Amino acid sequence: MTRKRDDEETNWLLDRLLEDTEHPHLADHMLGTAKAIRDLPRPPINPAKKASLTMRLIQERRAKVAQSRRRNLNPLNAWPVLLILAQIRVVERGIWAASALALAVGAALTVILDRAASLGTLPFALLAPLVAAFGIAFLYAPDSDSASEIERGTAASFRLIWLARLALVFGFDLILGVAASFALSLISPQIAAWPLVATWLAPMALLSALAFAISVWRGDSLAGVFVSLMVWVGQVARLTIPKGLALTSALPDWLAVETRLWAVGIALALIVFGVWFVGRDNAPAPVMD
Amino acid sequence: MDNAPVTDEQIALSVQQGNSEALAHLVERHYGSLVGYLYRMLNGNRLLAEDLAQETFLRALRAIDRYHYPRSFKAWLYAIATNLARSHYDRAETRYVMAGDETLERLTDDGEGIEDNLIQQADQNRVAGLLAELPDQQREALILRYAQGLSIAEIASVQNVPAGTVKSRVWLGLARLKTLMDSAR
Repeated sequence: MTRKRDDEETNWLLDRLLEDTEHPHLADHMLGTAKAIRDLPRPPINPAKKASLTMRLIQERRAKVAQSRRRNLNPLNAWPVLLILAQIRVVERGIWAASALALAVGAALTVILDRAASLGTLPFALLAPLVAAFGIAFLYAPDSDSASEIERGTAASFRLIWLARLALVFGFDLILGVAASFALSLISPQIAAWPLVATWLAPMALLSALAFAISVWRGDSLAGVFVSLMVWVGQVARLTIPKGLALTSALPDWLAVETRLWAVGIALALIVFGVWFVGRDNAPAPVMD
Repeated sequence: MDNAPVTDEQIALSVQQGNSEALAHLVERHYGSLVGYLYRMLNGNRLLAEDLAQETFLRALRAIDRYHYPRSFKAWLYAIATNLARSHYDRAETRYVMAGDETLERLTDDGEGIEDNLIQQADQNRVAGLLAELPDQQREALILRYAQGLSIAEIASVQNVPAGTVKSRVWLGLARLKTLMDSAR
């Protein structure tokens, strides 16, 4: 039995040596040396230590799995939320303050002018889409260029990160806009909150998406600002210039109920284009001069 | 886990997916050989080998979520053990020490004569001492190859070098050890 085991061991070693040396005579020559290594002392195993290690490993893993499950149940730990929150420090800080200030001015003007003939002519409804569009166009401030280096070290794709930034700034303006609309409805009883939100929401989506698409396409935030501003100047002109002028009446009324679906559809298409364009070669964020 | 044979890699994957009990299989399969490896690498210091084997498993567990299936789990585990052993012998001078109780255990466990056992013991100690004279990487490669039974690819993964480098380390180590053994006779 021992001899058989020795023979098996020898054959096993010879196979390995043949694989390592590729010459049968060299393998034979080195057999004694390899056998000496194979026969090196083996320490006895302490079963108590082995059992205690097994228990410790299992307990530690169970605790980690339980902790991880608890963490996963918290919606704030969902990866899209974490990704969006992580972008807060990358987005230009001035955007938050400027957006909040502009919306506050719009709300104040609405109260002061107290014009409620049509929700579409309220200063707030006219200002809110433009504020969001400007904020999104200025997502890529010059000092956020270092963010591209951070992005290269993360597991999320470039497109996903930009989409997260878009959602972050748009979400911020949306929350402020909804809050301001409710505040206006409390101050001015003739203003209904949800209809007001419905009035500016679709144009806000359209102008924001337009500003995003143009700024990433041209690699210039000001281009995004300019184009969205021009579209909105047309809208305001349509409302303020007397009807009958062919140029203004030919423009779509983005504050009208009939154009809302169109606005949302075009906004989605522009976002798809912008996100595709920005990540087409894993290109870094456009640097603004 | 009941449907044998289950590979180490499948068990590691199962642990990653939350099956904590599967760790017992990995310990059962590798603890003994890992202690043996570290014991040889650390020149016969059994207590230290046991401590480092425990540390190896703990580190492997804490990094298990970074294990990439289907990479060889054994190679991954031995890489951790090798790094631990290296950091130990980088900072501490180790000498070959064979504990007395182990010698006694071996002498009484085997049914052969005490004199034969003593001669065998002396030979093993001599080889272990000569092996300690080899460069660390050659010694690691030889022990992993002939004592632990790892493949060349697995050793390449442990040492983080190409397979060709492992082959040359094995060959040079063997040749050098043989010269040392011959001159010691």
